Amino acid sequence: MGIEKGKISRIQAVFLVTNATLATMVLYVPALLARETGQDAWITVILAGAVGVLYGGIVVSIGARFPDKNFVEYSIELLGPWAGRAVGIIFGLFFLYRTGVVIREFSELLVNLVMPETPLVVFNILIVSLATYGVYLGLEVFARVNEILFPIALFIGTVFIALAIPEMEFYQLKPVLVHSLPALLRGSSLLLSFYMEGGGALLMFYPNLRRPEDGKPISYQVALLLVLAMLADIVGVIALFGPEEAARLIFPTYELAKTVHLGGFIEHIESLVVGIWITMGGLKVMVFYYVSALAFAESWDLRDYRPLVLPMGMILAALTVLEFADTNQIRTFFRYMPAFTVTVLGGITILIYLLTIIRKKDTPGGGAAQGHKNERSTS
Amino acid sequence: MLWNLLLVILLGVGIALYEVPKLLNRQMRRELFAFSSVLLLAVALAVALVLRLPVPNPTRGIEILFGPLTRLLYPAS
Amino acid sequence: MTLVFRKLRKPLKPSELKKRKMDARLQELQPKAILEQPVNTDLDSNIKLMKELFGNSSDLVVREFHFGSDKEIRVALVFIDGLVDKVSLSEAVLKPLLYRTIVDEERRLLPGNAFELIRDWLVTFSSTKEVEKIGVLLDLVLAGFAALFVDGFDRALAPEVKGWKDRSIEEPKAESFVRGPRDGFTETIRTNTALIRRRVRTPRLRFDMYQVGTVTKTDVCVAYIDGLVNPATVEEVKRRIESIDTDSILESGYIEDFIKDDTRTPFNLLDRTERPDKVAGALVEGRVAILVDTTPFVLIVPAVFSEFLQSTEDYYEWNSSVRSLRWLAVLITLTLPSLYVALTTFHQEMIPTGLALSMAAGREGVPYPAVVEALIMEVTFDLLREAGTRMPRSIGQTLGVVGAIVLGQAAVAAGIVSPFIVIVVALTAVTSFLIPNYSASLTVRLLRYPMLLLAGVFGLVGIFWGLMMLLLHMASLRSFGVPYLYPITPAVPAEWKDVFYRAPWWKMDKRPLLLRSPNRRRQSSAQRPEFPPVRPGREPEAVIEENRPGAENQDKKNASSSGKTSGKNGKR
Repeated sequence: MGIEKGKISRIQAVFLVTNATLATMVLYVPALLARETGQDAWITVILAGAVGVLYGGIVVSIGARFPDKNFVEYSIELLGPWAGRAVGIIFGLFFLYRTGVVIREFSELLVNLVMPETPLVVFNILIVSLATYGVYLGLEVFARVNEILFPIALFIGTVFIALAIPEMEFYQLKPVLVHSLPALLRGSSLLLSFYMEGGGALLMFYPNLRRPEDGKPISYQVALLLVLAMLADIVGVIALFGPEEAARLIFPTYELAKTVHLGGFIEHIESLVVGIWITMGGLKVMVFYYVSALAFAESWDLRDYRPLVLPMGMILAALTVLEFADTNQIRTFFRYMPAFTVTVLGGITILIYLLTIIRKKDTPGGGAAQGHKNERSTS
Repeated sequence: MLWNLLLVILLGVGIALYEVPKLLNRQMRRELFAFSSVLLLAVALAVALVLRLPVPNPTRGIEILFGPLTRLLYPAS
Repeated sequence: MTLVFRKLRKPLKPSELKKRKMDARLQELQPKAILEQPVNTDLDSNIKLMKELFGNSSDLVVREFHFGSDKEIRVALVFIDGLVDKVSLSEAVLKPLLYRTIVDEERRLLPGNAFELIRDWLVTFSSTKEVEKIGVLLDLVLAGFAALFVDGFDRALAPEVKGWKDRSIEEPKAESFVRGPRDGFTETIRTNTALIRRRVRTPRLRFDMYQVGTVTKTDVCVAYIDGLVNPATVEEVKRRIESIDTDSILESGYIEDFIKDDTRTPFNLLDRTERPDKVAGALVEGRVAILVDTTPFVLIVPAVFSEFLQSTEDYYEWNSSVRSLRWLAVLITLTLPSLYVALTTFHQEMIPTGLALSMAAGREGVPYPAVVEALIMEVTFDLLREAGTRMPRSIGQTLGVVGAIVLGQAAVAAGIVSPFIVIVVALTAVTSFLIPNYSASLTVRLLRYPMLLLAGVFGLVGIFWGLMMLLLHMASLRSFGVPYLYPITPAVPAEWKDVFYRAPWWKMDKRPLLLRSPNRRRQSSAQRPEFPPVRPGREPEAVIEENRPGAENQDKKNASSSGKTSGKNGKR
């Protein structure tokens, strides 16, 4: 086992990966999908889900082959010290950059929706400080917090969508399949790139599963959760606003929450949704941040990733300001994101996967796996 | 501007004061080296941003690198 | 195991430990050479030494007397006045010595065999120790033993004649309740162990004694039930207690600070109680209790946060909803004032229009922003509460009246604060008292202030930020290897029946998982009470009628017939 000694349970891993994917996806993607594919967006969700399961399967099977090593460690083993470390650093940089983007996405949301007078940097620093604290405390800790909050967030989200049903007009989902294949491809590739990030993060903490040999179901459990959540969200948004209106909105899911009121006395509870997004977004940032710090530490052969966390927090705070000038640029970035993510993350993963197949590393019996079983650890 | 600069440098010093003694105590030379280089990079980046110096934007880099592929996906625009 | 205890204090290097012990010796007030020396054969020098050691302190009693057939045997009895029971001392030690000169025909008391005869035949006290070193003797005398020196012998007898004025067993003041045993711990450790032993009658209940404090030499007792407790936890508790090196332990709070997993946290990582039934319950669950002499407060480890919301009474009086009420109370105490501030300052649109209007009307004329207003009232409340706690009860009531009527009412009338904040603060006060554990309640109340400030600066965003930080912090805590938020997370849903509500006893058939008891099952699982089925074709009233005490004969008949019917039913 590498640097991280903490253990997480399978359900914690599922929640962590799902949240690391869903938290921002639910924010920005519905509008983009509506623009590309209109009422056919739900098809892209399923398409991307199918490919996502495939990718998840690859991740899980690599992980199961190296139950006591994380991604960077076995890249070094498979590719040799130089190429392996280079892969590790690319991996770390990818997640560092994405952490910055995610932080920016959230602070942009907060500025736009909650407190327009407050400067963006304030929210950047708030989120960075929260995430830094979480990452400093370690995988076990934020996996646990996520374990409490994720089901609550999911529940509240479901309630919101369910409460909005009376306002929905489902005829807006028709006609089916009017968009061209390239449009569907664009939509699903965007979704896929989000799914892949979750899978990539899983590569780093797969060996921290309490029983890595039982980790295979994670891939489809996550995919199922994601597809269901996204389907509910996107169908809700399009049925509520219609495809054209949904494409114009910046945060359609937020607008959906805005339409909800209960019995005339509970109104404007969309701030609650923002609150949930802060917590879940914070957790998503933690996952990416952690993966990045761990990847760097492993690549540089350090004994602990924690010394890197605070300076990296400072870099992140700067990066979030540097990356984009305004919200529109974030939306532009989402265009480049499929190519970016699929090439970098998908490329690296598939490279490693092919190498494991070629080397035909015999499946690990005994040793490591047994050790994990005996160690009844807390997480 | 000046205050922000001071704040950034103070933050950097604070981080160093928090981490360095721990690293020295545990005799982690390699970690200390990695920590200092990342911290230096971070302070440099932050100072450059505060002073509004031109800093290469990673997003631009990504857009140039992955532009061709993206144009394949989005031929219209 | 390394994993479980990885957050513990780093074990000291042997050299460091030695150095620390050396420092401690310097603190010891008695010169070591005297303590190490044996008891003198000469009685007078023994007496002189004891008087010297105690510096003629007024509570040291030295009774010198002669006995034997010719009064040729000289002995001296040394004890501390007030620590010994004088009646038993005279009954068991003085009387036999003074009144009896001959033990029996063969054994005459002579200066040559006096010590053995006194030890074996005369001192009729159940627990007597034979001591050769002055230092040991000194400790015993200070613990309430009497020292009996016999002239010509280099040993001394120490009968345990402990007996001091002790508070009787009373109802615990800090933990009030409606139903449950009314005895509470006292200041004497023996009474306390007996109170526990009386409830847990198993020989596997162990009380392991330690002495902590170089000056106070306080008895500390680690209690656990062997076979139910995780041995590693006991080891860890003992290791931590042994590594304490201080001059005084005057209350279990001292110990608590020394053995806590993490001191940089507002949360208490150990439970403490005055109630023997609570300790007994914890021991049976597989926890470890730490009793400290001279205080009725017993520590229980490991402790997790959800326990602080459990009152012992919950287990006697079945009211399952009260648990969730307490969780709600924690949430309200923590966030209600800050929500008020955030809503009135930043997010007025979230308040329903009618309420928003009356709130705005209430705040009209209040010269401060809502944060300051809330802070003023919260601090006032905390001041009142603290004053009320430290004052005698009668004054405390006056204080309440002054606080409520004069301060609250007048502040609103004077337009310093709005009536809404008074409601909010009062509600917070009430909910904070819903948390049964005093120090947990204090912690939650303390955390209101950072939340208030966050709400004042960042609004709802700040509140959620604060809650996240708090959750992260709590999830990172451990108490003797057990995660602080267990069983909520790491989630053990099977144990939520004792967290968010209290399931009936027959359902709680296992000890908590992460206490890692070697014997997890508490009871057989199928114990749900089942009631005799009402036989077909008979009215329920008839059954009740038959079961009346008057109708015993009939009852028998019914029993046999019911057997038949059920048999028939089975065949069908």
